[in-house]
Parts: sequence; structure tokens; C-alpha cells
Amino acid sequence: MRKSQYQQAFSRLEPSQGVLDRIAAHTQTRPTRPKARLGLILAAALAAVCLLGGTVYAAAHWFTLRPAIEVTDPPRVEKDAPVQPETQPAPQTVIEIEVPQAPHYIGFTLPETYRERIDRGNGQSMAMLLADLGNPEGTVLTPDQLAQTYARYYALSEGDGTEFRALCIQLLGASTTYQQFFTRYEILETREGTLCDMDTVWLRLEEPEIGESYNLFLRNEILGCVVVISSSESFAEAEQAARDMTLVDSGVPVAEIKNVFCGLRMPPVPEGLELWGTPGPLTHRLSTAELADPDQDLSQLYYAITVGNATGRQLHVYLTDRVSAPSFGECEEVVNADGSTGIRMLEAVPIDPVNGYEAWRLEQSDGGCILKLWSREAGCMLNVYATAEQMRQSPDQLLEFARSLELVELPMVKEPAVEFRGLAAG
Amino acid sequence: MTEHSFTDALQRNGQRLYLLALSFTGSRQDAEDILQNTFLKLWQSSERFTDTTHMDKWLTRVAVNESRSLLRRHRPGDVSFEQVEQLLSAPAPIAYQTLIWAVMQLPAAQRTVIHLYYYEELSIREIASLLRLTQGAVKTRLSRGRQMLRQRLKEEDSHA
Repeated sequence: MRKSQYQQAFSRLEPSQGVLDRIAAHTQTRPTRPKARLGLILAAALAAVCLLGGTVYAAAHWFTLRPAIEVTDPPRVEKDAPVQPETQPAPQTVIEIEVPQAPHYIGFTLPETYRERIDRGNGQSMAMLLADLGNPEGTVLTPDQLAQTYARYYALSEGDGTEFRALCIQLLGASTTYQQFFTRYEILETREGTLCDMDTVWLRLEEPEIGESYNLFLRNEILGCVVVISSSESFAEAEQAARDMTLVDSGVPVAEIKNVFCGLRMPPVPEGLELWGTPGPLTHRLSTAELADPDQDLSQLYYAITVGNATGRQLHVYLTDRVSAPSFGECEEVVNADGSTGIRMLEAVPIDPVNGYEAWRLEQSDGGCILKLWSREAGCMLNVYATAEQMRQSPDQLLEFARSLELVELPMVKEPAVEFRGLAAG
Repeated sequence: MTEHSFTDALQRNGQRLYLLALSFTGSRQDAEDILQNTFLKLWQSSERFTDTTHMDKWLTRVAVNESRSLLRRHRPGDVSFEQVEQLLSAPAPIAYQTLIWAVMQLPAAQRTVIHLYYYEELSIREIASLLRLTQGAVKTRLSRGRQMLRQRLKEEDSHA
């Protein structure tokens, strides 16, 4: 499709004369006085300060009372041992993913030119990366391993005609290999070396319909983090960006930076299923002020727990955090008769409320099913997913499991409201 | 803000912002509401614009925010071919109508990116900045949108 063709077609669409007349009539009204708005802003700011203060106090209080990660009654399983189904149902498995008492945030120092260009992103690509991270060796993570695994990232993007992206993933207790970050792409070239006193791996990737990208992975074993710098242009650009940055310990204790977010209180996991997948928040946590900012697109924030067994994924639960209305942007990939693939939107059919949540059911063409549960009060969407196989084997399990989910508020460490202290330091 | 500069801004941006809002909502009524709210905010704004480019960018940002705000409250349904005909201000060739219909059938996420790329002629970086997405996400949406559009137009072509 050519741009001119598109523009010619859409230039035929115009607003009605009626609305243009109404807009023109605005000039007949007196604009709001700045002083009046200033009062409103001050009132809002005061309210935000009070709310933030309360949140910090509550979170600080919580931190003094609670251990970093609490997984009650987790079965201890050796790292690479096959997962055994639970034989005794746990009394009440409460999983509260928390930042372990890691000493400090890890971040970068950045040249001044980058500081104005921080783009935290919407978490989509991070979610994909972390989804890979969650199952790095193709093995199932036990609840114990899940609790030990925590991933945090900082993402930057900068553009002066080229794409540049850097992210730092801080891993605690998790192992991974570089290549597994990009399992879905074709790796064209791999080189290993050192840079900035860190082990590096260069990956040149072919991304479908996007083209080549040049990725530099730097791994710091001591700090337990991986820095990924991605460029659409060249290795040289990514390397220069790496040289411009310095990995630092920000010195900001994680416990000093807090937020509240909604999590899931899980019931005993159905027999034969185990927890695995991606723990913890997949995206950055927003500050209270940001949550109150109507400009923020919060639709991509979510929190994921996957419930599966050793043979594959069975149920998938994730929580879309802080959205103000249900979103039914679910779709599935379908294979057309000619072998090409396409996307089909799933139809959301309202069903009776489940466990107090407004609920919709989305049937996939292969027999899989998604339940969308909307908590109006908490402003969260819960999604519970079952594969076709799971639906065949136990058609009621999806709904039963959904009924057992309970939404809870958890004090949660978030990315610093001070705008990445680690980045800004130095 | 003088009446003259306001009217100029409306003439310069009215249709463009209407189409932008339409790309978000897929609804004429909603797009017109967004357009009206956007210009109301301009009239009430105390922003000091350095030039028309600054003002136009400001208007685009407000229109995007207004569109998102509306989408949080409700999501309009699909657009039928008949509704596309009603959207047209003047008769248009069937090929244009088909293209508009196919675009309006896209999910809002893809439709908006497609519109900003093909109509506003923004770069990937500019779209990412405007929509607060990563450039990777914009590329993915653009790629998927094109793919869906190609498929729809192909199907429509074979029916014809």
C-alpha cells in the first residue's frame, strides 16, 4: 500500500459541519482563568502527596513485618530434578512475589545526552524477554525456584534516526543463556568477547518483517545482571552505547522504594499441576502520581503466573494491573487454508459473575478457552487460560480454578520515583 | 489565544485530528466528540506556543490523550461497510471505500499505528514517542496491521 493511496482515500473523510460550528463557537466562551486551575492543581498535588505518604508509610510498615518472599509450604525440589505432582494438597498456598532483600538497585550511569530520552516502554517486549527467562532451560520451575527467581529490568530507548535500546535485567537466583532471549528469531551471527570488564555476546538477529538487529549482551556475574543493548543499525552503535554507560550499584536500598500493586492469592494448585513460568512484575511499577496521570497508558501492565505441569502449559493466569475498563483485545493466530497465518479476534461472551468478578468467556478455535474476570473495585483484569487439551480432560477445571482466585493488594517495590537513581548517578 | 489563531488552528488541524481520533475509536460520533474536546482544551489552555508546529504537536498529543481516555470508558464496535459510506463526505471510488473499510476493521492498536504511519507520515520513532510505546512494539503493530490489511483486501478482491 502506498502512502498517497491511503491519504487520498482518507481525505474523503471529514468531520461534520455541525461539529466544526460548535468548535468555532468555543471562542464565544471565556477561557478558564489560570488562577482557578492553579487552585485545582495545588489541591490535587496535596492529595497526591497525602496519598503517596500513606502508601509509603503502609509499605514501610509492611516491610518491617514481612519477609521478602513468602511461599508457604513450598515443596523443595532439586533444580534439575523432574517435578513431582503434589500428593498432599497444601493447606493454603500463598504466593506473594516480592523483591528479595537484595541490597540495592543496579543501574547505569548515562551520558547527559541519554538522560532526556528515557523511555520506559510499555513492557511488551520486556514481557516476551522475561517469558523466555522464566523457563530458561526448558524445565519447569518449582515454587521454590519460582520464589528464588526475580527479574528486574531497566529499559531505555533513544532514537536519532536509529533505534537504540538498552535494558538491564537483574537476575537473582536464576540462570539463563543469552541466546534464549531471542529464541523466536533467527540468529545470523554470534560472537563472544569482553567489553567494559564484562563478558559479552554479540548476536545479529533476523526479526520477521522487521529485519536485522544488532544485539550486545553484557553479563556481570558479580552483580547478577545482564545488560542488553540493541541497535537496528550496527554492532558499532551498540558497542558505543555500551562504552558510554557504566554499571553501578545505585546505593538505593530496595526497601526504601515501594508501591502497592494488586497480586493474586492462589489456592492450592490443582493436583498434577505445578507453578512455573514468569514470576513477579513484568513491567515497571508506576508511582502513585503516575497512576493518577490520565495520560499514562496502563493497559500493558500485568503480573503473570503460569500454572502448568511437566508436559506443558495448562492454565495461565495473569493480572492486568490498574486498567480502568475491560479490554478485549484478545486474538489468536490462525492458519488459513492456503497455509498463511492470520489473526482472528476472539469474541467475548458475558457470563455470570465469578467469585464476585464480572466475567467474560472467549473460546479459541482450537478448543482452548480464556476467562476474563474484571474487578471493577480494584481496577484489574484477571485472565485465566486453559488449553484445548486441558478443556477436553477437565472441562470444569478452568472455572473452578477461576473461582478460587482472590485478588489481594501487596506492598510492592517499584522502580524509583526518583527517576532511576542508578541511571542518573555519576 | 486569539480568535484568529484559534480559527487558523481549526482549519489547519480539524480534519487531521478528526481522522486521528477516528483511527483510535472507529466511530464518527466519538471522533467528533474528541475533536471538540481537543479544541475546547486549546481555547482554555494557557500554553504559550512558540509557533504553529508547536501548537499542532500539542493538539496531536491532546487528541491522543482524549482518544485514550474515551477508549478507557468504552470500546466502540466494528464498522460495517454501510457505515463507511456514511463516513464519506462525498462519493468516493469503491477502491477507496474498500481500503477505508479494511482499515477500520483492524483492531484499534494496529489501526492507529497504520494511520499515523501512512496518513500523518510519522516515523517509527515519532509514533513510539506519541503513543508511548517502544519502537519495537510500533514495528510489530505496523507489521501485523499490514499483514491483516493485506489479507482483508485480498479476500475482498477475491469476492469481487
